[in-house]
This record gives sequence, C-alpha cells and structure tokens, in this order.
Amino acid sequence: MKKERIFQVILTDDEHRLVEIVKRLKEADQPVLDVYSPVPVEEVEHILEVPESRLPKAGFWIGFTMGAAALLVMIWMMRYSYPIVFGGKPYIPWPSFVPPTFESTVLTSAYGMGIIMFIVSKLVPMMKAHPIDPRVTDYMFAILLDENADENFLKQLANEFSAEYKKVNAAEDVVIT
Amino acid sequence: MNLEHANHRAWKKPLQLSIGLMALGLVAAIIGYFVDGHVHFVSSWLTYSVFFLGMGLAATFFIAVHTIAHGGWQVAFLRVPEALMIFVFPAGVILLLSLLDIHTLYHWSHEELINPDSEYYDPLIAHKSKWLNVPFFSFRSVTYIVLWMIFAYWLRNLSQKLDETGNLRYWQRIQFVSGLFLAVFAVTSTLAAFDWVMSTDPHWYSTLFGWYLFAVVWVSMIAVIVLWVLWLRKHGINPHIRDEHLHDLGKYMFGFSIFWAYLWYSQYMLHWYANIPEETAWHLLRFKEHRILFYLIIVLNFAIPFFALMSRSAKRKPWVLTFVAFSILTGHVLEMWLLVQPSVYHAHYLDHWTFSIVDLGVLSFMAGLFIFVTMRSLRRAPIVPEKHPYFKESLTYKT
Repeated sequence: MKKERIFQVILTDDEHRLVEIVKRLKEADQPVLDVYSPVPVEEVEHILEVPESRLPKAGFWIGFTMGAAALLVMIWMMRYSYPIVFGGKPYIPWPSFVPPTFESTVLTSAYGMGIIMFIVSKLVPMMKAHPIDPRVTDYMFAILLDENADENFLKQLANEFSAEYKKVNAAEDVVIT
Repeated sequence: MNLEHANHRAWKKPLQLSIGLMALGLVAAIIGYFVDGHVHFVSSWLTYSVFFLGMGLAATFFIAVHTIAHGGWQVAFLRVPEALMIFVFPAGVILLLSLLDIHTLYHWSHEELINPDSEYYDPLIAHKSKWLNVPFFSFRSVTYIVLWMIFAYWLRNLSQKLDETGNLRYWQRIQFVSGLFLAVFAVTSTLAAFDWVMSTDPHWYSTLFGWYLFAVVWVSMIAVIVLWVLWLRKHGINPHIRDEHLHDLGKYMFGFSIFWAYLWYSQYMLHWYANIPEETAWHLLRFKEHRILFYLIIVLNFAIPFFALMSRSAKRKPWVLTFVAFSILTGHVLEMWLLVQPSVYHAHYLDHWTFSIVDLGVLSFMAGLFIFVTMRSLRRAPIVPEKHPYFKESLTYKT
C-alpha cells in the first residue's frame, strides 16, 4: 500500500464558482495543490500561474525528428539500397516523398504526445483509478489543498459558495507536479 | 455617429504614404511603359488589379462567412474587412480598363486562331472557343465585377444601418445577403480565376486553379487585416483590439499559408507525376526561366509563416505578425507575377522578362490606392460596430 496522507478538498459543480473560489484561495495565499475538473477551465490555470505546457514543443520535436527520419529512410531506400528507375522519374523523386513525410510527421507527433500524456499522468494498462472523489469523473470540480491550509477559512469559503468541504485520505503522489 | 477617431493625428502618415506611393507609382509606370514596352505594361495592370480586386473580394467573403457561421470574434475589427471590401470598386474598374486591351493579354482572343481556313488555326483553342470568345468573356467579366460591387455595397450599407439603428432586422438581412453572396462567390470566384488568370495560357488547365487563386488572395487579405489591426491598436484608434484577436488572426495566417502550400503542392505534384506535356509546359516555363522565384515563393509563403507562427506566444507578438504579414504579401505579389506574366510574354514569342520598373510602378500605385481607399472608408464610419449583436462577445471571448 502506498503512503497516504490527509488532504483538504473543496468540491463544487459550477465552473464559475470554481474560478471564484480559486481566486479567493489564491488571494488568501492558501496552498492549492491541484484542481481536478471534468472539463477544461482555462482561467484556473491563469489564476494559479501554472507554467505553459511543454507538450506542444514535445509534439513538434517528435514530429520533426520522425518526419526527417522517414524522409531519410525513403531517400536511402530509393537512392542507395535499391536504386530503380520507374516512370522515368529521378532516383530521388522528392514530390512523391512529401505525402509519406507529412503522414509520418503527423502520426508520430500525435502518438508521441498521447504517450507522453500517459507517462506524465502515470497511466499504465490495468491500472486502477483512485479519484479524490468519485464524482470528479462526472460533474464535480475538486480543489485539492494541503493539510496545513486554514481549515476555518476553507469551510467558510465553501459555505459562501454553497460548495462542499471535506477531508480525504489519499496516496501521497496523487498530486502530479 | 461617433467619428472622433477620424481626427486622430496618426492618420496623417498613411495618407502621405498612400499619396506618395500613388504618385511615385504612376511616374514609374509611365517610365516603365517606355522602358519595358506595351505588353509588359498591360500585363502588369492585369496582374495587380486581379490581385487587389481579389483581396477586396476575399474581404467580402470574410464578412459573409463569419456572419453565416455566427462568428463573433471578428466584430471588434469588423470595420477593417469592411473597408477592404470597398476596394472592389476601384480595382474592378481598373481591371475592366486593362481588359480593354484583350488582344495583348489573351491570345485566344484572335479570330484567326479559331478560323479553320487560317494558317494560324489552333484546334485546341477552337475547341474552347464556345467559352473563350470575346463577347462572352466581356459579358462574364462585367457580370462578376458588377455582382461583387453590388454585394460589397449592400453589405456595407446594411452594416451602417445596423450601426445607426441597432435594429436586429438589419442583422437578419445581413445574414440573408451573406448567404446569397456565398452562393454567388462559389461560382464566380472560380470562373473569374479561370477567365482572367488561367486563360492567359489557354492550352493549359488546372481544375483547382480557382481555389488556388482564392488561397492567394485570401491569405494576403488576412495579412493586410493584420497590418491594419496592429496599426489601429498601436495608435490607440481602436482600443478594443486585444491579444486574443491577434492570436486568432495569427492562426488564420498560419493555417491558410499551409492551405496555400497544400494547393500549390496538389497542383504541382499531380502535373509532375502524370508528366503530360500539355500540363507540365506551364510549370516548365516558370521553372526554367524563373527558378529563383519559383523556390522563393515557397519560402516566403509557406516556410516562413509555418515556422515563425507555430508557437502560441509568437502569434501574440506584434513584430512577429508584422514580419510574417510582409513576408506573405511579398510572396503573393511575386506569386501573382509568376502566375500571369510568363504566360503573357510566352504568347508574344518573347523568351524572358523579369520583375521590372513597370511592375514596381503599377504595384505601388495599386498599393497606394488600396491604402487610400481603405483609410477613407475606415474614417467614415465608427471604428467599432457597437450595435452589432456579437460586439460584446468579441470583447470578452477567450481563445
């Protein structure tokens, strides 16, 4: 069993309230660890000053490398490994290399980003999910806070926005940094 | 009407620039007429009037397509495409004037080519003479331009009425007119490209040429919008333009540069692969005589926008957008030159001519007129359509 610890959680089912609550928490300097949401809410990222994702860059470089590799493989095959003239075209008929290069760029970039997402979110086959609250996978937005956050303030805040406050035991590495 | 922005002192610069460009351009064009000759002179007017007319048409399409799709993001700078749309009027007149010299521009217009008894009889052109003959061609040219003028005037007029009254009945009418325009545009844009540009070489054909020319003028029009929007924001004339608008315009430039490259490649690759003489001759002429230009337009119109605008932060930086917009505009001007002029000189049994003083003259005259007309119509209406139903959305939306 993994090491567990106590977290404080505020749950709400409205994204506008979520944004307001996160704003207030940030103003009060409460240690917000993570926000779980079934739909992307971009404003939360801006408020929490989450650094810009490096995923697009990874996607670009994977696509670039693999596209270049595909192009080189085609050139090597058509020119050096088994040179053959067909249709009167030169050994390196670059216009006909463009579609395969494009396809391999797009394919590897998409798969690469998907796989990176799996690695970052620690998703492996047969793994069981341990959501902070089962409703987070459906309609609830959850704000995860450290144990040492001001409990009274959180309760009052939850009350003000008719949100739910609770303490949960969860694995220590539930927070992805 | 709130026309305070019209008195902003920043307007002085584009006014001086446009008048300077027009005067210099006219002088250079007249000098060029004597240096480069009549044929080059006329074909320059054809090249650039089609280009600028196309940009005006693309601006009309921009408004129509966003209206029909209920897009709201463009409303904060809607006046810019509306102003560009007005350029259909002067460019259409200039194009019709240059088409008057039809025998210089289009060699299919010579009667002896379709006369079976003549020694110049050309069966391929005779076969196409049901479509390519002078009366029908003139009728079509006038029809396209008049239709586009009507729609440009109509949309502008309705937009101003909506702005004055705030009556949503006008908004519904704009939607109706936009739908009608899109149907007309779908047919006329392709046929106009076939008629004015593709028929300079009547033996050659490409079925996607209409879209290809549309991609050229559309992405150039987006680049012009970007430049105006950045200028209006820099001088605080339109304070409603936010980074989000720049971001979306950047996406437009990025996406449609790829769209252009896709069409360019689709056309080139099929012709290259099939290797049929009547199709490859067109590419061969351009590749042999203007090889640097042939590659340069791919760099300017595809490689630079593709790599410069790829990241999110680059799409929000004014200097990157300006740089890419100028790259795209230069690229597409050269591209228009490459589409029209080699065919024209080839039809006149000339081996070669280059981008020269007459091109620069006509181009700068048209550019000056373009700036002048756009500026004039920007100053004559409120800078933002405050009563547009999507105005608020444009101020608050997020990308």
